[in-house]
Amino acid sequence: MSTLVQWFYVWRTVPRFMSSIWVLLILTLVLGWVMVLSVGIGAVNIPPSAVLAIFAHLLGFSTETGHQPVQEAILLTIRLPRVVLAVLVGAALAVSGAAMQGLFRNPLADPGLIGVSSGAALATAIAMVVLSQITLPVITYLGPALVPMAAFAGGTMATVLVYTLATRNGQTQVTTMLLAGIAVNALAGAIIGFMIFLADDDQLRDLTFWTLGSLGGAMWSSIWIVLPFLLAAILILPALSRGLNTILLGEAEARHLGVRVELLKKTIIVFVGLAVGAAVSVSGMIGFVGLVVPHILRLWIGPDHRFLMPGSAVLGGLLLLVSDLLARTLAAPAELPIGVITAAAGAPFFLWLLLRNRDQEGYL
Amino acid sequence: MLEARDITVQIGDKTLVDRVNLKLEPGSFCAVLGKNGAGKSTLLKTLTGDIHPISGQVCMEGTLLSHIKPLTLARKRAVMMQNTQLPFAFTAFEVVLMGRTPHTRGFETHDDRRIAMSCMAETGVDHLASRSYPTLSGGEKQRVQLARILAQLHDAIENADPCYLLLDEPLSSLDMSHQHTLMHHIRRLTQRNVAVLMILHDLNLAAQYADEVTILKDGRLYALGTPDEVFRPELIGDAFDCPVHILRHPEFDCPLVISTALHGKTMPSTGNRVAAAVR
Repeated sequence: MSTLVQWFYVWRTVPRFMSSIWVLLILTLVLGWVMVLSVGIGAVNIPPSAVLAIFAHLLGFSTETGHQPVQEAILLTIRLPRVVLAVLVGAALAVSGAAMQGLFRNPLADPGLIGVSSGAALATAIAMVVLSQITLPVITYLGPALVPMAAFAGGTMATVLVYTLATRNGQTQVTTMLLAGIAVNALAGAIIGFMIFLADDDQLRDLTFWTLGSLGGAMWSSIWIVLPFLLAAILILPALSRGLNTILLGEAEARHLGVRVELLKKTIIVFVGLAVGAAVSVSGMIGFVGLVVPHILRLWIGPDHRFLMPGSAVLGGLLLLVSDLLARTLAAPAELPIGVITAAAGAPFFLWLLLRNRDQEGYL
Repeated sequence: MLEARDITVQIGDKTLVDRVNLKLEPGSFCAVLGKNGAGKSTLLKTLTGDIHPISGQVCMEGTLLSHIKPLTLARKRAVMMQNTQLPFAFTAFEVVLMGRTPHTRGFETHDDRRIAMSCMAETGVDHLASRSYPTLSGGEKQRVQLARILAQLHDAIENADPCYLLLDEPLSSLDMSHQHTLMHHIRRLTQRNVAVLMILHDLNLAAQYADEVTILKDGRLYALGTPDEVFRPELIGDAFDCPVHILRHPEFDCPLVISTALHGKTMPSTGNRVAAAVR
């Protein structure tokens, strides 16, 4: 009898497990469908059927060429890179956010917290305002790649700095790292302020738009450069899910469960630093995705990182893809900054989830 | 055998544990007692390898603790720390299932779920399985954590392989009935080759269930022996700075400690001294 009762209790815990799998599946299907849809939407409309026909033709599944060559050119050189970049950046930012929230055991942690974003922003400001005025062979050679390179370097350097400040004898103090991140953010803010003071009107406008983010510059050439960094985070961070689960109990508890905590922390910080640095370098500052996507999913499927991490990747990609679609269509032919869309759409939704959850359980 | 050889722990210039030797044999139940700040938790954290002693060694079965692979260690040694908090809404069952981490890769199997649930039944929390952990009461959380620890050592206990259970005040938030049920349960585990080291504040629980009692005072090993040897009025009174009477338990023939300190009075001297210092 008592085993039967126990089975009932076990069974009650199963639905969350199953529904998590369903949520992942459905999100992935929706992402695929929205990708097909959004490569077709723009100044030249390509219906989904034509999009699928072009892909089938390219992959050698059909010999029929019912579409116009101009459609194919637009699709492959303009739309597709932008859609791919949106999905990759969104996925990397959201996975990084989920990993940071787990590592810091704090649902409000965000990749920006450890200084990656502000380091990148600082380097960008310096590149735009100061470096672009200097005529050195290196700088003229880099040309338009100057700002992304600076952003990436600044982001990773800030991460390394914060990490070094928080590590002693091979042990990383997570709270010290948080506080060091705040200090680095403040210092970067001060120097950016000084750069704004130095900047002329055009530079100021460039800088402001950069901090709001844009995927407008997406090209295959830039995607190939950031792809390894973004993919590494998207693929490797979810593999650390089980360790992250145990770290939520506490670092000592995770160690007692056989997890190599120091190695885990280092791996997460390195991959988050690289991915966020790379994302910021191609798309500017896109806030909110890293913070809110894991949060939304956690309220939906629970905190188990083995579902949360891949789910965040898919939902993050989806959210940024839809935001970018809105950014380039709402005010067409002009483009809205994507950061405006992500914040304006996500924040009220987030608040609604918080309120709903407050009334139901009282915990995040 | 888990063995501390002459360990000293210092943080800053304060010595928290001072040249302590301790042996813990599989099959024995050792209670660690002492005043607040006597070094009990520090000693336990040194035995688990979370704090490194400035001198001395901790060995498990003849091997230095730091030379054992984390995963190997996790399969034969479980630790329960004081009040484990969880910032996210895992269910109680998911928390217990984490105890299976050293035994499975990726996702838990059906067996893991069965083991987790039977461990929850042992600590009396199976009915809380689908409750969110942060919403549980302090005592319920402790019982869930204890179930997680038992799930972690389940395989070793089943096979009666030697394994080690280190617990830091695992029963502090439990009611009397649950305290005794769980002490009885843990006591029974020692028959299956489990070594138990438990920090306790309730002297009578220690007297009733432990084979061996270790008393710490100011970081030093103050007394070590069976409850009958250690529970003497002058010894306990001195270790805890609190006068006691020691009687015999009317039913279990073990020592029974009764405090005789300060009934209905305020603490003497300290208050006056503070007042004098202010003046």
